Amino acid sequence: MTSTGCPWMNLVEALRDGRLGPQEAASMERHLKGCAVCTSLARDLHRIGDAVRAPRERATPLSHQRARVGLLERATALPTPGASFEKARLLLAAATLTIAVALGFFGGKWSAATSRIEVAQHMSAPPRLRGASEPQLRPSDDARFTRNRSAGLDEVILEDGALDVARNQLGAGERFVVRTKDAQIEVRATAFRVEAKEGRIRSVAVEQGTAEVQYAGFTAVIPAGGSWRATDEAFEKEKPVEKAAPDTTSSAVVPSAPAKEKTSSRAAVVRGNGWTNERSPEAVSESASEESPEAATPPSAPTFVPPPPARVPSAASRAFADAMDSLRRGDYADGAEKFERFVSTYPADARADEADYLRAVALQRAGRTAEAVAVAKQYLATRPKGAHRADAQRMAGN
Amino acid sequence: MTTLAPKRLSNAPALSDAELLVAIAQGELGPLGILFDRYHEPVRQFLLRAAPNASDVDDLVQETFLTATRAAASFDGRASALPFLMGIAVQLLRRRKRTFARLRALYDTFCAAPTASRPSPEEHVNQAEEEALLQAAIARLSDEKRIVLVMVEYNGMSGPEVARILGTPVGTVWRRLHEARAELRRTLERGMR
Repeated sequence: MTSTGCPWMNLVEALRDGRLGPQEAASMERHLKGCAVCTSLARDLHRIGDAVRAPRERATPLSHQRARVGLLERATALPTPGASFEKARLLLAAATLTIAVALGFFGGKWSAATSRIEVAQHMSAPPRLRGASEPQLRPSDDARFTRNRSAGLDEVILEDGALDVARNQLGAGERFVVRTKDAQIEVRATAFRVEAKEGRIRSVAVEQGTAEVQYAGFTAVIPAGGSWRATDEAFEKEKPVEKAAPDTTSSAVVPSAPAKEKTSSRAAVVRGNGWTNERSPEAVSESASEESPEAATPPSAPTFVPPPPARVPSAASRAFADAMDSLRRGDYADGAEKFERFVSTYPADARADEADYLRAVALQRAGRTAEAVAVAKQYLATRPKGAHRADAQRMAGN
Repeated sequence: MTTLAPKRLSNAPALSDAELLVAIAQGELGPLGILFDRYHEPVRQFLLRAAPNASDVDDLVQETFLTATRAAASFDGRASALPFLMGIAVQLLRRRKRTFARLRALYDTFCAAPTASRPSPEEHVNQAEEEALLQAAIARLSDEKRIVLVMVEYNGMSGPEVARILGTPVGTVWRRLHEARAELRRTLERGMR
């Protein structure tokens, strides 16, 4: 109780707050047994802690329910979740999109009259903005596509041309998918552009959010600021020789896929931050010369200028996001592997606890119950202060 | 019976906090309900201690979760969303303090009286008095000191964790904690005399 007397007094508080090393702590604890002044101080600190922890009235289940309902009602009334935080980025993306469209409009060899006739003939579903959350489609003038909407699935089948898409958000259970004959793009992006030719995917460029391209047996997640392009040798070869001059140009300029790409005649080129593609790591160097196939595309195909990349996530963040993407896609086995790899590669990362637990979840969802139980038990054993111990215990059958 | 455990409202175990906040950031409301079920009581208990005027704690709790829907995109994917929510709650407390500065006198009047844990008849008189004194003294602490004290003593957070949530240097956290305890010890000393 007294404030004088022992030179060790300052360490009493440090001991309580865990600021002492093991040796200092042990020494201090020994000292406490024999020092009345420090013991008194420690007792006071303990009382203060008890007073702070003294139980307060808990919410009743009824008040909890009322508060929950009230919260959800108020959240429903919110204009657009995340809008205030993303506002600046959205404005930037919109400005970039406008510039890109304008460049395409004025840069391409565009013929207004003929293209408009084609649009009138081929467009089966003219885009209309019906609601704030509905994707806004802005097709190029040579675009041919159909749009089907049913049971929460909004599907656009793109045959030819380019499509700029901007959307705010999708409701729960809703999906927006762009398909070509050879690819599917699961859209989580809020602003992106997709191009196709003769029903086959040519490129995807994302300005905001992410897009997941499923193509030729693999899946690529394209982050904001990134782009993806398919270079198609087979496509060029199969095509009837209708334009002799561009043909030679394209074969001379487009770098052909090396011999190891025998499994698929098509290769993918990706630009942007944070994207990984196991199949064409060398492709980035090709990006400078790949523009030439545009010479063989219809004159109205606009040129897309990708926006400058935004924040570059760390390798750990990319690895974690990659694993999360696997979970979202429903590829639970892959997700489990990635989470395991994440934990072993970044054991000190703040998300390691999360990854460890999600690995068990992924295994459970993959139907590998025994492994899930084992991983949950391992989680309980190795993470005594883990944030998911309650759930892990349930999973482990405790 | 009010002692019944809160009913589990959804099949939450499969969804991590990070997954929930990603979904919330995309505008889904279901995950917000799950997050609320998971952290409503911890956030409320924190605010009951950090905000001496308990009359609007439930409003603050709701405001915390509403703000979380707007800030969900900034969640860094950590294991638990509780520090994230507590950071929002502290911001709301600070904002409220600015907004209601003119009502400070009234506020202090409330703070001067113990607001919770009234001594029960069964408790020993001295212990009850000491408890009441401490509660009143805690309520009289400045917001900054009290928030640090609650985060460390009630939530069991480390200095660096508190510093990260409050956006202050760790040294500031330790200093506020030390000063808060010193003030409370003085109260205890006066009470014992």
